[in-house]
Amino acid sequence: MLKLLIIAIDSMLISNIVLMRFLGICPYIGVSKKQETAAGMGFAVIFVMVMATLISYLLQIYVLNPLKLEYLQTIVFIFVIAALVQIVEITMKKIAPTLFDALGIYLPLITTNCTILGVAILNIQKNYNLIETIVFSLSTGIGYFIAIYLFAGIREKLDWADVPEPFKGPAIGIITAGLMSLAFFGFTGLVKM
Amino acid sequence: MKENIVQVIKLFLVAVVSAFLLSYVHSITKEPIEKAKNAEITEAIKSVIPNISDQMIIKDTFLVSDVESIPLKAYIIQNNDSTVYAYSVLSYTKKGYGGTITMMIGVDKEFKITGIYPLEFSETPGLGTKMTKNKFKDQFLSKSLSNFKFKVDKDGGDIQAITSATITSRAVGECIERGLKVLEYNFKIGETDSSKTVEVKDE
Amino acid sequence: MNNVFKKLFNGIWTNNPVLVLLLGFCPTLAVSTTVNNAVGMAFAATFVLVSSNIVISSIRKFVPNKMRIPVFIIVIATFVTIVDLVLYGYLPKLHKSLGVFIPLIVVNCIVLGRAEAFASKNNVFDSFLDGLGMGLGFLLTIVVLATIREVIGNGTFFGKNLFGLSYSPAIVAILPPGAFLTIGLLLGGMNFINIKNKEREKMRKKLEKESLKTQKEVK
Repeated sequence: MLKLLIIAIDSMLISNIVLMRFLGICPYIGVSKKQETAAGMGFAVIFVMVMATLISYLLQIYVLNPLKLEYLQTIVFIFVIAALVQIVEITMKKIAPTLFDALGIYLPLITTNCTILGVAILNIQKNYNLIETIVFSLSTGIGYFIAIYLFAGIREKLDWADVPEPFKGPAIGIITAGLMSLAFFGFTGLVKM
Repeated sequence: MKENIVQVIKLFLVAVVSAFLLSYVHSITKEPIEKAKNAEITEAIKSVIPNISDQMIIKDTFLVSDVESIPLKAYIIQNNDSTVYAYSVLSYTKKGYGGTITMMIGVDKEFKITGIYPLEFSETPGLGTKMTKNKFKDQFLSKSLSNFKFKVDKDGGDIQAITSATITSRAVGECIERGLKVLEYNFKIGETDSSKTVEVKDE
Repeated sequence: MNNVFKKLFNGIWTNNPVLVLLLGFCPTLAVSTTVNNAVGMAFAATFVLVSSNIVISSIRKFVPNKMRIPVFIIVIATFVTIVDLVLYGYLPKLHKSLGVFIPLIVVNCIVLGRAEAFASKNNVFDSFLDGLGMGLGFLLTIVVLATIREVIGNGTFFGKNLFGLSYSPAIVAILPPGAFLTIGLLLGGMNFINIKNKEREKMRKKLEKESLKTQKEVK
């Protein structure tokens, strides 16, 4: 139980997927102009991340490992993710149209979001079991949500700030991300085993 | 409909070509990859135990002790007349500033340290990572459980901690102590009991 | 020949994949802690970029439009796996320090982006040049970034000590925050140069106009 808690805190804050591990930065910069869209993207990431990590974990354990096809990991995982996003999109449209209205436009963007594939692969490298896998992917997703939602909040304010001409747009955004990363750095050493 | 089938067949074709290509590359790189996997361990052992010659045999085994339930991987280095030349053990600690640290620790026949080699760690660059420098590592040379307290100076031990990386230094101490204890428990003369060794297999 | 240089320059400066198109940030930031890793990463990505561009542009007429993206992904993932296996076998140290970012070349937006935007519409040679130019642009950016970070944050360049032992480096540069700050400043610097260039261009045009006017008046 303690180990699960540690995994959760570690992947949410200490090794935050965006600010410490540098995954999913393109959408982090791209879809963070408004808090509303940032939240939408964040929820979509949490949702797909848990499903994709779980399915790729099962595939690795029950298909790739027994057949000694570990070297096909990359190609299989990316295909699973691409297919999964499509399936989620179609079923969500039929079953939960309100949810689809909220998250629908972010789903196609997620295929090329490297967090999903990254977490699926990291999860295998870390040798987690089934429950740890679920906790790991869920809390990493939440970590992504925290990072992008906070960032969008800052950027909304930033629109009104007097920024030197060359730094307008993405440049000041990335520097802001750097300062956030510095703040998150304070979490290192938070968990002692 | 017909169009769809053609599309699927084309996709299938691309996938088949890619699978063949990959299995070909895999068959070529298989051997070097195996070698690379072992090379790191061998290199670590060589760097913690001085004067290893190529005739020596390295046997690996898993060890537990009275206080350790998680087995550690240990290596027995034998001369070619199968007398023991030295031991090394792959020890770990979970108390590093950035989580787990694993180290290869080498000792001679008297269980005095001949070298340590950090393998995996995620300490703060520039501070905790100073543990890989000789300035820090050399203080452990020819120390053993009987003549050295593996605690940092702040806690009343003998380890000179790295400036502003006390947690890392403390963790390294714990890591080394664990490795030494397990080795002595299993191999020290007079206490040697083959039943304590979990599994011995030839490399 | 002129055209070739133009294409390459397009990738290196005008449409630099990282600084202008804002693609491929993740590997750029993550592996730029040392110049060594940066060069390794850039070559791996360039290899994937060039070979997948070549293959995709040569099969572009064979691939049905609707199946485009899955086919691209298979092609790219194949080359990435090849790079992964070869590095693991022959350069295990580099493979270890690049870690998860090698398989992640698959989702590097530069590669899929160029496949979709360029290689699927142009001939093999042009796609080759485009891939090479983009690869070089990536290489240049990541090496510049890594140089700054390694020199400031660790006092070394390609692992060689620069300032002697008494120098205590500003560690923050090789920590994650340093990556963001440095690339933010680079981005600002590049914008600064571009803005200055534009102003100069404007000034020149203005001066030309004025001199024309005075010439006319003289006449």
